[in-house]
Amino acid sequence: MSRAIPWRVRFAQHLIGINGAAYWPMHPHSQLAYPNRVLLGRDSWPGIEPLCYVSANMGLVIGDGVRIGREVGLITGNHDPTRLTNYLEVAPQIIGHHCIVEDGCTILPGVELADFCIVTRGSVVTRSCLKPRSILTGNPAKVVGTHDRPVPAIAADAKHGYIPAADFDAFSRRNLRHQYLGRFGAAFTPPSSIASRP
Amino acid sequence: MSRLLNMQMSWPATAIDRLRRMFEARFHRLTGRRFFVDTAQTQVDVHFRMWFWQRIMRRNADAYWPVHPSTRVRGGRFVVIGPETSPGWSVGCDIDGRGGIYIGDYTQIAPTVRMYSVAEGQEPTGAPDDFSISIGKYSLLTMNVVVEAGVTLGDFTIVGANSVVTDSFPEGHCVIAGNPARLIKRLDPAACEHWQRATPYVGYTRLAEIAKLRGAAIDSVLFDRIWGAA
Repeated sequence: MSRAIPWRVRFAQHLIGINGAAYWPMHPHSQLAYPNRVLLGRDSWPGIEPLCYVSANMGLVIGDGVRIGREVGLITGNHDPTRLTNYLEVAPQIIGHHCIVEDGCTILPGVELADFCIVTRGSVVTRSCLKPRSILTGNPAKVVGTHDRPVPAIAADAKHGYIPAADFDAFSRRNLRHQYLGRFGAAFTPPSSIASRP
Repeated sequence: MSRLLNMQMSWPATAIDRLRRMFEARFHRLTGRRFFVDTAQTQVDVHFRMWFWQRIMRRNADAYWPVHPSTRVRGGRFVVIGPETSPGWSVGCDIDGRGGIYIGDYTQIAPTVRMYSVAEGQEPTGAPDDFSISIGKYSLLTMNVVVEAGVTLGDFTIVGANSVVTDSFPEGHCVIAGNPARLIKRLDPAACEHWQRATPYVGYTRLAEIAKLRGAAIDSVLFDRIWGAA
């Protein structure tokens, strides 16, 4: 079994309904927008720490075993600077497998992080980092080095949030907005013969 | 499992959600105040959870605008806000208004924004007679921004993520970011759009009834500086 879900989080999500739309455990003091535009890997819970902001309005893809600290902002949509209520079209934000996003980081729209990246405290990731195992620091974040930590094991029964791995395919096909998931959405788009059927 | 497959909430959460919706839809019949209905679909809609913690549990009770239960507001009397902007509506903000804060109309404020209107290491000296922090209209403070005392930002200022604003940019129409915040880009003032809501709300109060707040919820000296002409 992977990590235990705190009872407070269960209470808030499943009894009161705070962040109840998220299909993964999320702290009641985190904020979430558009949970059905998030494609979540196994054993990664964005927003389980308090004061996170997961704003998935332009799509968010998170890999397996991602660790995300508190006060982290995963921002996927740029405001139109001349009219703030509108958003600009960008590619979805992608966070690779086993990334570590430490406290107080902000990851800006359109950014793609490779696998095993580490983003240190309080940095702002503005550009994509396609080199695996890099360490990013600063505002704006720069690659300052690499690391070679061993690959952490993911439990065999680790779920995609609350969804067991066996059901996740059906779940994502049914509920997730694949238009917003970029190249990951193509995997569960129905073939054109079905889509064009009236 | 079928509940999760359809992305539904659990049955207790669904029941509570329906009760909450009924309460919000009928709230104006009991009290005559329509903020639940009128602010829905705006950028700072009043959630039941915010109303409950502020008005019933009296957490951040001196703020006259909706505030998330995880944020902290001090000196709400000395904060003057324009319509449809609410510092602390998002998660984890820390608004210290004891030195006087003005926030312009329709300004968006992201989670964990901190505004310290009293300088570090100083004690607030009674009621301020001017604003220590003044933020223009249609601005955007993004995540984790810290605004220090004595800062003036003009209209259409966009402050980048994780920046610390220590200097004033009173001309506005710019993007600033960094620690300390520096000018990144200028916006074309002609392209910036001055939009308005049909029935604007200042926090829980309709803009037409803003005079009710003078002296009651807002310090009258600071109120007159902004709303005195209107």
